[in-house]
Amino acid sequence: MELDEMKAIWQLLDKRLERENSMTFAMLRHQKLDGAKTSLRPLVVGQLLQLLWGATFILLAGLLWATRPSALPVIVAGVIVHAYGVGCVIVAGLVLSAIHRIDYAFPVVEVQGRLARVRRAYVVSGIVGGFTWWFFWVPLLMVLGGLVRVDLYAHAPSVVWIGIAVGAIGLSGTWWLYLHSRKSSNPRLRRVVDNAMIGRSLQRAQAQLEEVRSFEVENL
Amino acid sequence: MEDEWHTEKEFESRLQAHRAIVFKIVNTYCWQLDDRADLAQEIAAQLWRAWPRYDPSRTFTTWMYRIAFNVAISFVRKEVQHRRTSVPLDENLHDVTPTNPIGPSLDDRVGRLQLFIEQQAPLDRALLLLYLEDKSQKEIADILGLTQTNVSTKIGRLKQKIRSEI
Repeated sequence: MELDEMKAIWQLLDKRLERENSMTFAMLRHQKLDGAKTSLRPLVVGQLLQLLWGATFILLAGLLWATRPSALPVIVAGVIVHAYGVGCVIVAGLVLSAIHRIDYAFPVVEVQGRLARVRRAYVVSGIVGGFTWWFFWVPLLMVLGGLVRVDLYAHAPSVVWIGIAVGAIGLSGTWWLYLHSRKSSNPRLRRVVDNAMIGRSLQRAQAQLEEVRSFEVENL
Repeated sequence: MEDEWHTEKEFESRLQAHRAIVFKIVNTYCWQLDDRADLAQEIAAQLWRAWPRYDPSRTFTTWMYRIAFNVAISFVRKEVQHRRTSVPLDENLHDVTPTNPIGPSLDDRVGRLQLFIEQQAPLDRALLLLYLEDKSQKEIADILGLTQTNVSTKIGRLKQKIRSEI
């Protein structure tokens, strides 16, 4: 097909669509103020949930501080839980602010690049947040104990040390599995590990970013 | 209050005048009727939200194309990517074409063009649409955020691809 012919066909298609679309303009007009659902809504909702999630741990730490704990291990655990909550809130706030600052009237490549970076940051923060749970459950347990004035470390230090050891083994094992899958010649293993650890969301976000970058690059 | 009414009226009249941009983009990025309606509404909603920040000294169509493409590309990534094999673009148009005097192979050629569009990545599809719309390289560069040289290179490649694939 020659280019002129292609453009002629496109114009013809255009006329057909115009006939069809003239009937649906009313719908477009009446819906505009209702704030139709946006594609970014799930991302925004996800961040709001993360804000609540972080606030829950801040609240938990606040409740612990209200009991005026004196045992150092409980205080350290409280600080860790508090910091985790604040971290979740900060990350969610940053992502929400980045989403809010995206102006769709900017050039397509710029906006799509920003969106892809925001998505990737969101997914990475989720992955990092997930991995911290290998260890995080230990201070969390200590804080819950502290709320009922029980110093878990004083009463059962083995629980704390075993918990930390389990976390270290789990995290190292996860890291080893990841490195092993990278070196493996078995693509199925790599795919399974990637999906389990990194997740398709990050792969998708990364692919989108690469797509925007390669589109932007001048290849003369 | 009156200002608001005027603003809304002006927006509506501009949207009415340039509605074809919205529908062309919707039909280029969506293959299911429900998706098309959702996307058209989302574009209209985003245009309305961005309208207070619109700078009248800049071209309205460029502003509109940018927003519509950005919404469409985000939408297609989220909603449609995993089910691209749905309703072909012309399925609901068959009703208006049976008595078309143009040759019988027209639908076939339209089909091939649509298939070619479908196979392009979202950003390439934007470039293709603007090219088919006969936009200048400067306009295309302004809408997409590329340099004119890059646009020229990409169009050259697109032409080669069209010749070899269609």
